[in-house]
Amino acid sequence: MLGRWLALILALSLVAASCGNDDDDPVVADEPIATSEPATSDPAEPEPEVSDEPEPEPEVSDEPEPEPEVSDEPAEPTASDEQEEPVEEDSGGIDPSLDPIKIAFISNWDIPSLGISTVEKLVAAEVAVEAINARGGINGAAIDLFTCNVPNDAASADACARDAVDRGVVAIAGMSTPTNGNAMAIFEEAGIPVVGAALEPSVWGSPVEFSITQGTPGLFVGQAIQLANLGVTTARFVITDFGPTTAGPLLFFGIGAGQMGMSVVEEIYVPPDQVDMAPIVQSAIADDVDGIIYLLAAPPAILGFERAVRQAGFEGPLITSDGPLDPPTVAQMSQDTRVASLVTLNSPGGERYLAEVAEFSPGSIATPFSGIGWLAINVIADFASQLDEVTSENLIEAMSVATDVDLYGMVFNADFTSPIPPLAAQGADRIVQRAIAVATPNEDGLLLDGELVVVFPD
Amino acid sequence: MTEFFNFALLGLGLGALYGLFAQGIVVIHRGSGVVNFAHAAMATLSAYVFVELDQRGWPLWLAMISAVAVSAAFGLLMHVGVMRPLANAAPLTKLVATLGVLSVVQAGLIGWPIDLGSQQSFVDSFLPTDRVSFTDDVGVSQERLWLLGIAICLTAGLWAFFKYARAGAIVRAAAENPEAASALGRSPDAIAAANWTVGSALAGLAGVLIVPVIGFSVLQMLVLLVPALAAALLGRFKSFPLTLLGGLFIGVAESVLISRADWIPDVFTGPGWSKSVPFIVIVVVLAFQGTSLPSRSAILERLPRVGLGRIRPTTLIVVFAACFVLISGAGVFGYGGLSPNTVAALMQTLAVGTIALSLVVVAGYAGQLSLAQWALAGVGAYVAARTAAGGDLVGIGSLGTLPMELAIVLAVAVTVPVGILVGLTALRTRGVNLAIATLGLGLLIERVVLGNADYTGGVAGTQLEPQTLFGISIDSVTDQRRYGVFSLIVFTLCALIVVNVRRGRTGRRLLAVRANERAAASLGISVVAAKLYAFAVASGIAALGGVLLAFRSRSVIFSDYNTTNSIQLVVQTVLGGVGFVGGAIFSGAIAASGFVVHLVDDWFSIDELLVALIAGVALVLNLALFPDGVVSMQARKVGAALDYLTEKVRPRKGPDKVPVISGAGPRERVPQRTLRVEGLSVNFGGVVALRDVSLELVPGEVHGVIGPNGAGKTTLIDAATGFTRPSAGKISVDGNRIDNVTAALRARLGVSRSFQSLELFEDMTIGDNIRTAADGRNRLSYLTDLLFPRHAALPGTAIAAIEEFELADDLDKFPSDLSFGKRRTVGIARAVAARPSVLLLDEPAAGLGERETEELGHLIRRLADEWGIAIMLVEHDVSLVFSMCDRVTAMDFGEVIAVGEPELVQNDPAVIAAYLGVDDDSQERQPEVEAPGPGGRG
Repeated sequence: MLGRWLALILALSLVAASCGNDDDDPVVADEPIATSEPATSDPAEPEPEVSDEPEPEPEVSDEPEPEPEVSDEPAEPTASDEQEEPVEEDSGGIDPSLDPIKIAFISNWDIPSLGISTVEKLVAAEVAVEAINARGGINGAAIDLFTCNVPNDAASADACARDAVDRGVVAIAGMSTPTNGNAMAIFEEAGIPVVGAALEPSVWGSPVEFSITQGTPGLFVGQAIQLANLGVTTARFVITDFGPTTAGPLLFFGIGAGQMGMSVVEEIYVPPDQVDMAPIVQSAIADDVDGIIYLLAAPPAILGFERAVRQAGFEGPLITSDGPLDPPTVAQMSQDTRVASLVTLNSPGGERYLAEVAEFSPGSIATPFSGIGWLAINVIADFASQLDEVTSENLIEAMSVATDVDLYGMVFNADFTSPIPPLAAQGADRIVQRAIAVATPNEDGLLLDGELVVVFPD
Repeated sequence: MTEFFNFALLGLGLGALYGLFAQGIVVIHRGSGVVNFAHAAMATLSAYVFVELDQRGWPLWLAMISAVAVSAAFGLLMHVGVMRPLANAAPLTKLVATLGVLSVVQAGLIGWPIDLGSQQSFVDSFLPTDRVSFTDDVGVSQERLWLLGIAICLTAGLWAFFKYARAGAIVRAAAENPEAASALGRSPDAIAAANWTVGSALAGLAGVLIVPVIGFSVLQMLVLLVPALAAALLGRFKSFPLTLLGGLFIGVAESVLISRADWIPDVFTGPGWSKSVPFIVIVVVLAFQGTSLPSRSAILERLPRVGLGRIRPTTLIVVFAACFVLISGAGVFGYGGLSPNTVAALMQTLAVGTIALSLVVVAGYAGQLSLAQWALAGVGAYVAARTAAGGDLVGIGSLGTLPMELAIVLAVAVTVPVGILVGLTALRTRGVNLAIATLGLGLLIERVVLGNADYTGGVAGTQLEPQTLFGISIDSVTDQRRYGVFSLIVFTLCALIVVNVRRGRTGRRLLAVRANERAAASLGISVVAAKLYAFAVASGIAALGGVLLAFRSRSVIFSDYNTTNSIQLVVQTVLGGVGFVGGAIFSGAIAASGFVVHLVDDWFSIDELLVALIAGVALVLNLALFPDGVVSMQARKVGAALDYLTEKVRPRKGPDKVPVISGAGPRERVPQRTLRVEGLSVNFGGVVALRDVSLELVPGEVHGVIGPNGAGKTTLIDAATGFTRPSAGKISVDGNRIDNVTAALRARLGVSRSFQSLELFEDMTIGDNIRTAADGRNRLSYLTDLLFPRHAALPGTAIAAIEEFELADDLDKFPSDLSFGKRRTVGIARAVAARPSVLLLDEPAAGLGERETEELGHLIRRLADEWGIAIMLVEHDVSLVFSMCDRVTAMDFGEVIAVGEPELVQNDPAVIAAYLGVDDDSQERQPEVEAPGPGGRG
């Protein structure tokens, strides 16, 4: 421990020394990084048809996949990496003389207290790094990935954040968790950008958060819109009672429903330890409800809920979101249930992600939700490749001015019929407004427009 | 009403499963006295086997039988491998061991060796699922009715077996008195093994039945545990029918509350209430059913050891300074301090350790097992964070943005009354009943307040600005080390308060109540005040722990303050030593994100599920090796080593040990008071235990009470001293009625007693037993002891008692170190040390030899003659009574049959007929029931 501390002191001394130059302004590429069209939608566009009828293809750039741009000049080495060895010294195109670029992946892929293990999130980040390094890294520098699991408590999130700062990472790729604690404040203090999914209110207003999905606001506004598009006039929001984390989804679902003229009856909170869903469903289908959204916490709950819904004879749409779903759960789900997804694998990026999983982690699962981690790593790498010196400050500066970011076609383009009204939550309007897609479960995975967007292992 | 019936019918099915699940818990408890939290593990294991075999195409019946058999075998294995080695451990230790087994099984199924993760499986129902309609609008799936029928049949079978079958009677007997069962040639161990097997099989059956209804996932059975425990609680872990009724009540109530029918008050339809309300109802019912003092039959359980609360100033200063330097990075010898993450781990350790300190007070010292400590910490965190953020409190308004100092004070001020409310349950419930009651109240706080988005800031949550304390920034992001030092100071202050409580009069009162409530009350200690005090102090400390956690984040969340963490806290602290401050530090260190976990994580890269598995196994092994906690076993060694070092560094001047008795105590006469009993009657149900008894105890006189077994002698003492409520009559001291005041208050008015069964404070030294009796009853000491515990010398009466009873050489010994005769002497000495005006002795010569009895007689005589005490001597040794008493009352069948001077009573024909010389007859004439419990033969 003392050795690490001394090494950190040494590293900080070197950083201080390297900051002695007044001409150390970040060097940002003049051209925009993005290749796809802006993601905002035209309010006048017709509402997309969902599920029963063919859905418009997600807007994906026709342009060829951008190759990482390699700077002519080698990037300045950063002093903070003195104590760590590069991960892949012999990978093709990697310059062993360059210090690796440190990126952290922080997410909640393992939550023993809830029995949740979605290791595919970790796999997605790891294969993204392996693939980039195999292609020559970032301007010849390998990516050194630090990964940290947040098992559902604020202290762990804090520890991960401090650890990442301690290790001198230049960016965080991560899907925020309901228990961020101080993490965002720590990243703000350290000036490290976070490229993530914006699921948590505490990140929406943060100047270092750079969302690559529409996050909670878009997800729930979108689900309301999708339910209305399915002909629902009176909807019920059923949500696992995880306390304050329920407030965001409820708020945004209400906004979306209001926008579509769909009435929402009183929400039902499902106690986290509710094992028998029959009374919940009995209550949910009252009041002439013809559509239900169920925000679940753990995969087992959705199966019990779905089963009780069908046993009760309810025939209206039931929609849920794909985040916590794992493939074995999806495999058991009814095809009558709609699954809202933030991203699609039916895209150039999705295909690349699947190919990289197959190459670098054969047999592993790939899901749209875990693809967010893969996308975040690639977005960070794309920005970093435009910089002469990869530092967190330079990355923030570059990300702050970027307008058209290439998201590899993985994130659905906006299909809101009108802009989201001013959002009640501070910072929520920073979140990129995109839509969601509604897929149906299949024994092989999740189907979207007849194509699998969730792939199960053989 | 249609809505009500539909939801109630749905609830009956689940309620039946709760009840069925709970029956296994009751069976195991009846046979072994253990509340088995691993019951969920057995059901899970059985359900897993059932699903696996079903999916492999096994015949349904064979899959079911195999699954139940596996569960039964696991139960037997658990008894042999875990519970038998812990046979002599405290019940709390056994309970924690069952939690360890639960953890092992869950980790084993989720991660390794069986990798189920969060996987959920369904099997088709083997029960009919067609809907049964009772009216056009009211109906339910047949499956639910079948479940109800199965639960009723099994309950009836269990009830009949335990009531009518010979084997059931043996189990009952063994549970009530293992020694007696052993003496009759029945092995309590074999009986316990059988009960573990049967109880586990019932768990397995519940597991198999529930899978078609709710599916199977590893953690699902765990959530059945809490309502099942509540159901068993309603059945007092004894009654099968009441347990089933409890399960049905919970199932129906949960379901009906979910319906949100119009007639249900709005307040009960919000988040959290459907799971909380049934629990609260059960707690209230229990509180009304309970008793303020345990009955004579209450079995005194072995208790975890407690520390001495001794402070070594040098050690304290050195350790504090070292921690200060490590955390603050004070630059000593060029050392810059620990890494930020290590500091964060230490902050977590100190915060959780502070909450664990609260458990040391309430469970370690006062013996009140609370499973609500994290919830109480959450109340403190909530009040502090919301007021510091300027948010409103539970929807009643905002106090504006308070500075951190005020927010902390307010947090403690609000949490203490809440803690006292939780503690009210302890006044009439005990042991595991109390634990489950507090679990329910913790659940209420967690779900209804801390988990309610309306109360915690809605979408934005509770956002804090960087905080300052007395003008110094202690923001945990920008000034993490300062926050670490702040945590260190708060923990140290709380630890000092805790050891102060232990060392002072208050600590002795708490330990006395923990050891024996009846004996404590007989010495004038208010059991109510002591328990509530423990909850109050513990709540204040827990609030500070919660505050430490809350202000660590700028975005405060309250989901960590849950009952799961409360249970985990008990596990951690018991593992460390629940009676030791060191145990609290240990608890914090091994908590999630604590120091030890951080180091393990830093040094080893082990899968978290594997860590859970290893931790579970380590927990069980640790408990077997150190049943009183790791710290407990090391405390004496470390203490001796520190003493040795201190002696080497700074040799002590003067004698090694300050003598407890520095001189002869004044043998002054006690205040002269007369106890008068008039027309006293006591009924136990339909049985008359005392009928119209009158007598008078005057200063300086020894009044003997004789009578055959069942005559009502002990009941007379119980009634006179406040341990039994009379149905008629008057009791007065110097003409002032005392029959409506508590036992403790009567003792403080000078009416003291001894017990036939001694009832010494077994985990206190003889010196502390006597000191506890002699302590003044100054209520202010409850506050002053927090900061300045008095270490006064023994008062004169105590010294005199020690001299009178020749106990000077035994003061540092524990009661278990003494002979039976000596223990009897201690019991009387303790009563005398309280300086009573009236002393009621219950068979003090029982079990003594002839010479010892003779000496005792002289001693009692001197107490009357020299101290002026009015003494009532209840004794079977009639020769002792007639030789030394001034007056004698003879009783039979609860009535006085003769009274007067010894010679007159001795020759009274009624006495001769009833008692003297007709011993054989007297035994045949015992009333059917005199009083509950083995001690009731007085």
